[in-house]
Amino acid sequence: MKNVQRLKKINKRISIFSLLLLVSVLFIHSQTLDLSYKFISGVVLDKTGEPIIGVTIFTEGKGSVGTITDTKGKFSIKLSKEVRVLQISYVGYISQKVELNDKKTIEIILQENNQLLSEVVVVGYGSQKKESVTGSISTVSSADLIKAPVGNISNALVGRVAGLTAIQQSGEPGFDQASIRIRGIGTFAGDQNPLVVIDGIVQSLETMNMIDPNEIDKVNVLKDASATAVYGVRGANGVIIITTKKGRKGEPQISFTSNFGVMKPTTLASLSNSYEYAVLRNEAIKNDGLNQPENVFSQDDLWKFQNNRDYTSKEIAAMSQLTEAQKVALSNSPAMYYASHDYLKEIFNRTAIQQQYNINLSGGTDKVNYFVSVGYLNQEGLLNNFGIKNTAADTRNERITFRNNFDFNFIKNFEFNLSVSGYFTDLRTFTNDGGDIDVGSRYRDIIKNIYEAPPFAGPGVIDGKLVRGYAGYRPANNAGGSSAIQFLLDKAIANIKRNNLNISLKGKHTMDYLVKGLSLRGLVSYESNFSKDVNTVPNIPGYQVMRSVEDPNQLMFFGGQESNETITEKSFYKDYKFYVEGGIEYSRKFDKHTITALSLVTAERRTMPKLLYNIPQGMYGVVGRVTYGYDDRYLGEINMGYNGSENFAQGKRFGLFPAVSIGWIVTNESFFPKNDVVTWIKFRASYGQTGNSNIGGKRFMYLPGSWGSYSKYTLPFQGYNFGYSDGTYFSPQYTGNYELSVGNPNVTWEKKESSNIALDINFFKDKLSVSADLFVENRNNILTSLATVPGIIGIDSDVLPPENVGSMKNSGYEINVSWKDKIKDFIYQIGGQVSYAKNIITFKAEPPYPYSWMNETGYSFGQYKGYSNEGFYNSQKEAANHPFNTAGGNNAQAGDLRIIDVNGDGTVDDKDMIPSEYSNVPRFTFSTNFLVSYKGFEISTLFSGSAQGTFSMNGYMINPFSTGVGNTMKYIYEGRWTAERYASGQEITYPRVSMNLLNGTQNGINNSYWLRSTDHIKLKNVEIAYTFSKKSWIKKANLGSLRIYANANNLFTFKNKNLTEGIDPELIHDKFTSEGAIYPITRVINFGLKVQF
Amino acid sequence: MRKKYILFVLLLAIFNTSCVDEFINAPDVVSLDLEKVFSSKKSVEGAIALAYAYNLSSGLPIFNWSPPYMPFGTSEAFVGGEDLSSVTWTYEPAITGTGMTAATTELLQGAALSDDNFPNNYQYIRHACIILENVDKVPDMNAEEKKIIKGEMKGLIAFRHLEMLKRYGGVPCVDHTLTVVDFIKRSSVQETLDFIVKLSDESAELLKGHTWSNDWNGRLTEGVALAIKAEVLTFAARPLFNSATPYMDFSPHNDLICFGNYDSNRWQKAIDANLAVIEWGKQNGYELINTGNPFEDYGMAVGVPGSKEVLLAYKQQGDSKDNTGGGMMAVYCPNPQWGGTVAPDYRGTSYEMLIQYRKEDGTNQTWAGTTEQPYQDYYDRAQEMEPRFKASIFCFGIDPWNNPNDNFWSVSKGWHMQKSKQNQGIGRNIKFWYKAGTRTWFEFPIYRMSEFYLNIAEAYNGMNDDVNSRKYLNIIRNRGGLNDLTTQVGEDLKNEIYRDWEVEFYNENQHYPHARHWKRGDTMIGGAKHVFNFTYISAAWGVRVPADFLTYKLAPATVPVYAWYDKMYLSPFPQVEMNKGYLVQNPGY
Repeated sequence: MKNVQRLKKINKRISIFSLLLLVSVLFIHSQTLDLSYKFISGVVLDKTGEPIIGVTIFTEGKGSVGTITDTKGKFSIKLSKEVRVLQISYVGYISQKVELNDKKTIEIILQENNQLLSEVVVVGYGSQKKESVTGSISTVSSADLIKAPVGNISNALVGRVAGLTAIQQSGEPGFDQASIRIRGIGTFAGDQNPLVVIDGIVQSLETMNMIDPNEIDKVNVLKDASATAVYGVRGANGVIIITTKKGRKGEPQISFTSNFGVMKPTTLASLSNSYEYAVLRNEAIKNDGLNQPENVFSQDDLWKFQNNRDYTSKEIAAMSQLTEAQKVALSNSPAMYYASHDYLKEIFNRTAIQQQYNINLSGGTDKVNYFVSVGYLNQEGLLNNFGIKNTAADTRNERITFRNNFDFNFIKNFEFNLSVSGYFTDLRTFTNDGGDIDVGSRYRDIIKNIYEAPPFAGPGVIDGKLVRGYAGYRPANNAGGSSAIQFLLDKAIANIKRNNLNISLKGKHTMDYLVKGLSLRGLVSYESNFSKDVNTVPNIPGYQVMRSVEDPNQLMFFGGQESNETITEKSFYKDYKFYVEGGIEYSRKFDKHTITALSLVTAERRTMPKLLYNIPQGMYGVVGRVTYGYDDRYLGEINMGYNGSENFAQGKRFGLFPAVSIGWIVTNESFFPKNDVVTWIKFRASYGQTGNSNIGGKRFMYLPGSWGSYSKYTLPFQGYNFGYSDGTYFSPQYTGNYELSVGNPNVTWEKKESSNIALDINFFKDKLSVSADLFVENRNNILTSLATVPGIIGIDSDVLPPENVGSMKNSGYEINVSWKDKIKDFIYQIGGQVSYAKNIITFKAEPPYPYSWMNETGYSFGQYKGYSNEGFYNSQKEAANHPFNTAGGNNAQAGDLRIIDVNGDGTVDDKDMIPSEYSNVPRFTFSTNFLVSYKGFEISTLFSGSAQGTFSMNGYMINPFSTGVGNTMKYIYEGRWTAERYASGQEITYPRVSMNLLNGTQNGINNSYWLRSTDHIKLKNVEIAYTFSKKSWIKKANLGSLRIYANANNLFTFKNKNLTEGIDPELIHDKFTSEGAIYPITRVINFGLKVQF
Repeated sequence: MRKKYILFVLLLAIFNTSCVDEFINAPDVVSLDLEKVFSSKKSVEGAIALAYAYNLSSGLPIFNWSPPYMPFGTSEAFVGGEDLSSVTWTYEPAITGTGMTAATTELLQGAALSDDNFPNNYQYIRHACIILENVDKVPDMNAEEKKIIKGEMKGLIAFRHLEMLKRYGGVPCVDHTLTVVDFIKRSSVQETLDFIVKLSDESAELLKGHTWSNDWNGRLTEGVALAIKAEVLTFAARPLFNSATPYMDFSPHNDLICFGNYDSNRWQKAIDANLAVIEWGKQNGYELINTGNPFEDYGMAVGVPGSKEVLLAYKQQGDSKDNTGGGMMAVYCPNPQWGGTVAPDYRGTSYEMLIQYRKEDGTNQTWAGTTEQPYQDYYDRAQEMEPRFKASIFCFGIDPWNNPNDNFWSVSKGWHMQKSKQNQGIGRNIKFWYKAGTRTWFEFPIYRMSEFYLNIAEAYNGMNDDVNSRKYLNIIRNRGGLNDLTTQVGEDLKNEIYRDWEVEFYNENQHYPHARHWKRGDTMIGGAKHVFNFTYISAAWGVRVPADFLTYKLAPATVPVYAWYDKMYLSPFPQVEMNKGYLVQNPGY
């Protein structure tokens, strides 16, 4: 009854929970009183005297009863009169047995367990005590995750897990998730993403990224075969397991978190101003020897650009219609036609607001525990709307997440968990020119309008009016008012609504009555995703502007007609997934032997639109695990997955993925002397196989060859015309039938064999802990297009079936070091980790090239290649002696890159393109975290960094004057080769400028000159916090605790100066980002508070 | 016992995988496969359509931008220097500036820098082979129909091998579908020739007596099979192959690039084969259009689809509006409305091509040199040119002669033709658009009857029979409106024949193979190219009527000096194919 009353009180306070709680209330039952028992009450405190909440108090033996402490650390328990001893236990503290000795009230002080070895680690389909784990598993705590004020989990994991590498495609809210690689890259053809498991159910990366970090209890990252083998055909890329919070028995607790932050780009490229641009273009026209006097900026033009004026003093003097005052005003009037804009900065410079709120309620009774959480996130985009509302520049990401976890325990021998979770997102963003929301092309379509117009294109918005053109006079080079701003504001607005619902019901039936330690388990889950995109094309009134002829100080606007916006439904998507598992578990300890065993069957079926032949995706598998421990000294495990996927032919669908691992805890041996220097030594080793069924290529590749048929003839080779015509009419068209594919009945999964050996050592009473893992992985059966098949077979590479013949080797290490100590109230922690993963393609079915460096085999996945150069030709004479060059028609002139004829055959061609730098995904990642706390204060920092990664520049990043008139990056102006700059010894960072694109010349993208190192160190995360936990005013306000904090993400970056401005070292290299179509990655500075009551 | 029983049932349940099929499905039908394609006549027509579209595309810029089919809107006319392009960022400056190479470049997506992408030939041949091997399965087709289709496919396979022989010398000969483990080596020039002759004989035999109804115009006839044979035998007799010593020493593989002896009898075989085509044509309605009005006759022959002079054309009747025209439109249509606005802006006929044309009276024209002349001089001299010039090229500022009184084609009246910058080259190719009106498509002529006359003229000259040689040359000159040659002999006559080839077949993919097989690459392809530079009364944009022009003069083109190396007499096999180890690379690459 008491509980019910309390709940009612809370219900009044927070009406949002009422409905959800109704479910739990139904299961709460009243306790009955019985006078034949005695009552014991007490309080549990830590050694500083602070109450500990949620401590379990229970009795041993038959008829065991128990309770947990409330928010004040208090408990009361009714016991039968015979009970003499109470067991007290709490995670992170040393368990105690307390003699009752007829005491009615007791006070218990729990000692912290500094070893923290009793921590529970979540493994595939189960959990293990950390000390008995033999695989390679990293853990990230909830506390660390919520320090990062970011919109998704993938970014919060960066720097927190040894062996996890992340690169990011975009900083746009809602699209800013990182691509995560665990232990680097293992395949060149298949999917490289890790598997995501949330509360035991395989989910998408997207679902993971949508979770509110306040809902997460911990994240475990499974890295070696021993840990991932149970996931079989999906485990090869590593597994991220997220465990969400559950309620604990005790009074209801409400926790409220509020965050408010601002976002800015971490880096933004600088563009040259109008004057620099004009100088550079004149120079390029001269360099190219072009006879284009009409395109050369005059001295007057240059003066106007330099002085930001539309008229020279001479021109003003000649305006006889003006009074002297008007002339003076005009000579002081800033330019409109000859203005200068850095549209990149103008468009992406918004100080965007980010807000995040979470409220959750948790607690429990004997029969039910509950955790109910609702979160809200709102992030604005970086785009500036220039004061015009309701355009595509007003972007935002809004998200509501919810999670309800209930644990029921009201039937003997049965436990149930019901979980209902999901999210709603409401994204509002700009579309690409085709009205689509594809990420890269949207950025390209904004960026191209910036780079393909001169800096004096404009003016954009004047007095809140969108100007689409100049009336009458046009400034030089036809920069007729079509600024990047206009293109941005005219874009269609995409409203993307997505929602996701996950329902799962787990059950566990303990069968001690049959065999002690035996239990059955089962799980049913249903997931559905829905999304809808609606495009709105705003119709912003547009104006033409000109300076008045009578008085050029006056601006005259024309136009401004209003018209309606148009709304179209763009897409509609729905999918659902059904998952079941059922199995049997056994866990028993006999003397010194600890044995566990697990056998499970899992099945999954996912239906979504546009699946080939409309056949749902299915998975079916069996999981098995046996662990054995002897005397806490020797550990052994066998894990296995036996999986099948519909991607493979019947009879070749199922594969067995076994792994074995062993552990030896040396410090538990009797011969090992107990001491305070070396307190813990554990060796671990594992070997096993896992697979990857996302092998790339088409679905059902095992089917026999098929033919395609064109329904329309709109491109050459889709059909042909037969029939007589004299040209006055068309002959009939015959649409074509063609060989579409040749089957590969043997297609199978990628198979990974991996070994891991590791050592965990703790020193100085466990203050210092060091953990080192060494791994080697060999991935075979990678689906590979056979480049060795002769062309005369006549099967196009699109048609020729790829075979599972490729292989890669991936090896590396992870080292974790941490020091934790406290001196009275002063607690400090220093930790660091380094991880390294290097992969090599060992077979790719490539033909033997004349030079080994031409192969991809023998090099890392994504290894960049290019011509190597030794600086520039610094004179016409040097250029005249260039080797014969197949690029750009064998031309070279002073200021061009001096390419080395590597193979010495007198010709520069693709035989001279050698591996240069590294790949985009860095081999080394490292981070160091630091935490100090004193009483309520806490400061923590995370530095993260990487080495041996590369970014390749292309497109607008290296080409000035796109489409003949486009703007150029400032570094080109500042670093270009000119004879004068060379002669005066200035640093040259760019070849001579040319009106032509670099591609197709020896200065083009095939040149390793454009490869830039992404080595960097970032101050990734900082947090300063203060917790008012003992202050009396907190207690008066009926608050349990209050924590206020300020934190920041991506605060500073120290990078190689070679890396051009605008490229964040964590940026992905793809065909869009490399050409400069970048939505900047953001820096967030955030303020927040957390209240518990 | 009960416990054990329950346990047993539990374990059984766990490992029971009978519901696998509930979760894993397999498609029971494949939408279309080989069997279905060959299950009806209608369906096979779709396969046949592509057999033509593929195999006859040799040397044509099928796609505008996609390598490696004459990529980036280039054509053999650009590669050989008949036309010039001032575009600096595409394939053209690469191949003309550096010459051909086996290595790939960033533009080419794995293909060699060459006039052809070698593996494509075999994809197209495979398609024809599949039809050849499966047509017998078609239930609703009679034996006669199947025989004809086999004849067509053999003809197409022969044609594609002929195109390869011209470019590479001896190549692997393939007339059936191969499996991925088949490695076939290059045949010698002689073997490849024999292979093509045999296939074309078989094709002619199968197609003998068959005439297509108008509905099926464009499919292979016996005449085409004879033409393939005539062409291959003519190329066999030309100096590149018909020689004791190859163009570059290639021992021990000289037989892959030449016959190893000179045999004048090869010319005789060529004459016989070409006469057979002319004879067949006469009996079947294919002949020179010669009504005594040279401008109209030639204009009709080359510029109107379906003319009786065209034995075989590339019948892709697509335009740029619906994309079907692809690169063909961009390259061959000078009207920006249909060809796209970019291509014509940068393109024009070369001065080197211009001077192949004579004046109407048969003498050479004198154009401006490097000293500026009034535009009127250009205007007047253009009017003096021979009919075939006027039917092939339109001159800047002058409404095209072959589309008179048509605003759509007028540089002064319609807006379409004004859009482009009319200052590239000396003028621009318009030959496929005779009185075209609003026609948006054309058919590229593959075999036009006049080539067999010129083949014979060239062959008689090769056998030192100048009388017969002049006789056949004069048939073509006469139709083109030029006076008969009566006195020229030997080398002089040969040069006249060569020059007439250039004029008669401007932009019809004859210049480049001729330059190679006549062994005149250094003069016909290599070297600096020239254009006329015009000046205008203002830097006005748009209208380019005579009144806008001031002067013109001869100037070097902005394209690189055309590279010529002896290795380029034959094309390179792409390096990626070489690496697979079954080919021998042509010398010099």
